[in-house]
Amino acid sequence: MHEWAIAEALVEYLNNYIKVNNVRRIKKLVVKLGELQAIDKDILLFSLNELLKIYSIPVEKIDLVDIDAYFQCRKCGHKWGLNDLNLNEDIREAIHFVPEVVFSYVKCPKCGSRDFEIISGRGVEIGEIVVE
Amino acid sequence: MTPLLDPRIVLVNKKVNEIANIIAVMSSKGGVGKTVLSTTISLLLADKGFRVGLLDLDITNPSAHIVLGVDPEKIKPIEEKGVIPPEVHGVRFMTIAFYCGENPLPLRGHNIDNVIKEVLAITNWGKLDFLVIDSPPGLSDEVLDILEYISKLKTIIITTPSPLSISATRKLIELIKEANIEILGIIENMAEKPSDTVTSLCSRHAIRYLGNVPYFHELDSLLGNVDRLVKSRFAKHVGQIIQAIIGVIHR
Repeated sequence: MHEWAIAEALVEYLNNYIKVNNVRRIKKLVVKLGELQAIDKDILLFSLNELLKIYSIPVEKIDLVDIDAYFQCRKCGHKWGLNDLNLNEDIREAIHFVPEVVFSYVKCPKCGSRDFEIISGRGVEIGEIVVE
Repeated sequence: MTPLLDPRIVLVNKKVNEIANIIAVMSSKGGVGKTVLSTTISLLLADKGFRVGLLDLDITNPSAHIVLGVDPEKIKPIEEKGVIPPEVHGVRFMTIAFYCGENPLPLRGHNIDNVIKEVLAITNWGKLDFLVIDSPPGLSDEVLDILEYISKLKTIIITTPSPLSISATRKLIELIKEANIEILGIIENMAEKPSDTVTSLCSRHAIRYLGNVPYFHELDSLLGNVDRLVKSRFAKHVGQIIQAIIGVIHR
């Protein structure tokens, strides 16, 4: 239930957002899910709905959008995706909690450098808040 | 509409709202003893019956687990509505080493910032009297993040009598004061007696001199053995400083 903490961050944020912007109802919330963090969608959605009820924030629709994880080497420029890697369960679990530990376990497949960027699909972020 | 900020930042202070005192142990010079002191302070506070947490925020070089004798491959936080730090010798302990093990973790600044936000947002400390934060040397991402994200922060500065450390300490004092964050005091480490340079630095900046800790040659051999560490001559000195810290907090 690490997803609960992530949902809590999103809902706390929405709570502040509706107060600051004087919004009564959210028509659509778009949440981007980076592939690297491997969030369990069902658990996240369950946690979001529970927390939205607790905070009494009306949200008509929640869209969870998958974003593929890609990396680019700062040394040789090579680009690769998470699917190109063969990471064991323990490493995937560690990355699930803190995506940046990928730098402990992954090197550029072309030149072997650890100096690369996560260019997309890191973790969870709000994509869009559509209000009435 | 206000721009979209990182939702994790909103959660950080909620996660620490049941903690009475959050104390970052800081120095901008490396090798002055922050990790050993912050870990020993945590252990001795726990020995006194306080509920204590220790957070190692030296993200690229975590080492508090070595002082505690923790194998990060064997002990892990429990996953529950976030993560609950394991209790080690009476101290709730959190470190990035639980996730990167003993592998190198080379990170550029924005990645360090992401790790700190993630760790602060997911860790459930529960009720604590003290959360001690072991911070890395320097004045870059980790230190700026600690000062920025935790609203009720207090700090303790560690220095040695060396002119190199004192010069760095002066800059750190300026930074912390500019951020309007309380400095509980300065600990002078590796000093047989209070030095004129550090005591005059304290009086010049109106900061408490919390005490000195001599250099102990045998200290390295105690790291990883908590039972011996807390009974050491080093810990006796740290114990006196803890009395001073508690005195300042309860004044």
